[in-house]
Amino acid sequence: MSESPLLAVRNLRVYFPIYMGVLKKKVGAVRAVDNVSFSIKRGEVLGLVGETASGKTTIAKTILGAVKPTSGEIWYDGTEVSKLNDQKRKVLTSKMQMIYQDTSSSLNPRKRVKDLVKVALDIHGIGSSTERLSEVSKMLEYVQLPPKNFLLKYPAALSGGQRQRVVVARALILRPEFIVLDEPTSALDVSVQAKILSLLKEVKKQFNLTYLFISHDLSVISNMSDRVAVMYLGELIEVCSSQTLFTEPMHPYTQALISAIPVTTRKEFDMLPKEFALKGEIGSAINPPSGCRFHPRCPYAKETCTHESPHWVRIKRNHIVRCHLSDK
Amino acid sequence: MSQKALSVDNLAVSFNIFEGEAKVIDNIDFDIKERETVGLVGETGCGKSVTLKTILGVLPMPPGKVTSGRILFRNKDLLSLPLKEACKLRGKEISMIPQDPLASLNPVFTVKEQLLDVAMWQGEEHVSRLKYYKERSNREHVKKAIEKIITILQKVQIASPEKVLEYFPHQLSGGMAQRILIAMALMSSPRLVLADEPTSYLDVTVQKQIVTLLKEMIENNNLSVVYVTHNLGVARKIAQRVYIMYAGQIVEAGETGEIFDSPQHPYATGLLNALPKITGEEFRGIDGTIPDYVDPPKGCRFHPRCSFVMDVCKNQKPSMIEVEKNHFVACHLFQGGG
Repeated sequence: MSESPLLAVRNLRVYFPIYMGVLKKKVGAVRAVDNVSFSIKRGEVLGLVGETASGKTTIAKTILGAVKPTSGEIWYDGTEVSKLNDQKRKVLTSKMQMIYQDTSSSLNPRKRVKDLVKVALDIHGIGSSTERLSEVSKMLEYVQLPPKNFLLKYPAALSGGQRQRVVVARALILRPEFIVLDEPTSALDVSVQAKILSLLKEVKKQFNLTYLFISHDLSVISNMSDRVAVMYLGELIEVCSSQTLFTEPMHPYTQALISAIPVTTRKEFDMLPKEFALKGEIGSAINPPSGCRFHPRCPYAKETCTHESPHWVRIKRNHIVRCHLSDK
Repeated sequence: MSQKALSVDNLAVSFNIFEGEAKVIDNIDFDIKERETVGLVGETGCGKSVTLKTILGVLPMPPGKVTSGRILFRNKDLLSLPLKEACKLRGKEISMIPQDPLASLNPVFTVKEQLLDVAMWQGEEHVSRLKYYKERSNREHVKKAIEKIITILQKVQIASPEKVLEYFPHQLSGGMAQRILIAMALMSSPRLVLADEPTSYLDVTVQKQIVTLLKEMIENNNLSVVYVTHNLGVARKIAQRVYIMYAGQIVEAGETGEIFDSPQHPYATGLLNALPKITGEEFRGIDGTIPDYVDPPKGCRFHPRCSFVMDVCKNQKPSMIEVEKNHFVACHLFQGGG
């Protein structure tokens, strides 16, 4: 990675303390994100995939400043952003936006579409009120919601796909450079999901965007992103290009995830790695397993896996994995 | 094998709402043979859950109303059966696995309490308080019921059932809660199981475990299953036959492999093309949204979104046409031999 990345996360840790008793004594911590490092180049789409409770959303929130990191650094375009004060942060937020998962709860039900999309312009004090309104109309036109019909509607009157389009318009209104998409289509039906995904691809090209695309659906991730990072219980375990993800997955967890995709066509069946079932479910982030966090579920677990945390191993260019099996 | 476990005949369900009468289920026919798993596939709002609830008789009426049709279960029409008999069938012979595992368990009772209630009172229409306490204080009976519960929990592969019994639902993971609900559904060794998207709230790796478990249970217990899902991949894994639903109508029916490999109806093709593929093939969505049920499109309900629409589609409801052996399509494109 010779050119400087747009976003770089270094050794990020986010722990949520647990308090107990009358004196609110700290008894432990939820290690939501533990020592995660990655970087995203300008114009790239990095897919972040993992099961529920693996810490994907916490990473997204930390990057955008909604959650304070316990330790570690987040560099955005040459500045360390996790320790900026509020004023400097505000300037930065116009360049970073987020698209949320649940469309019905990310839009205020008592506001009209017009106001929902406009609010960022108000906060940053951009343009006069007529200019703002015309900008909103332009943006709605862009996400294929005719402003004539939609400006005055309330979110309750919109379908799931239309609501997600409003969310996209709201994220784009400040012309950001970087967007975090937190499961943008997981609440939608497949026929609508395909429409939203192609819209997201289109706006990326049009506005020169960089995406951090979070999802639990590997088939969506592979179609949207250039590189994929796989997360398990707060840690990254494999990072590779989205082509090699399906052809040569190295980590047993990645292999298990891929073999569990419910596919529909014959061609896809042939691509799947051989069946193997995982035991159990994702562990607890309060008291994670020692050594490799995946070892209690791993069919290939060796003695070393139980007490020694694996290091990153470079398989080839753009493909790194954290597993004792690949470490020779 | 050829005997029918359940047959739904010309069923129509509507709801009285403020805007008028929402005609949700529009005269559907389908049947399930003994020991067969049938997938009922469609997107949100196409009436899959309403169909299941009508079969089980738990659809709130009013506002719901069955306007026509019969549901035959072992030659008895479930819709016209007196409540007492229907309760017996519902509790013992037909059971349901609900969708959201954690919302379906009562948060203030332990797993043991909830399973005990099912084990002791299944198929009863009403239990008086006196009878309840009398039975619960009978140690012999309770012990027997708990033994039964533990065997069934072992069958659904719960690691230490005695410990899990003392848990409250919030102490369970999603996969475990779903296993308990499966156990609850299988408690009375039913004939017919109605599964309402039992894996849609779970992660893919856990989803796979549950699907494998369900398949095993279906085989071992000779169950007939209606498996409702919006996940086409899961339907392909579990079902022998698939019905594809759109806006309260069945648009295509046939053997699972056949439907997935060569879908015929424009909606079925569109739906399969809309899925992102891991091969990286192009995927496209379907324009438009599901119609309004108060004033649904005349004729074929899919015609406003269909790219092959003809004049006849706008006036006349298409009937089921057999395009190949055991592969039926409801579309005017195939009228006259396909």
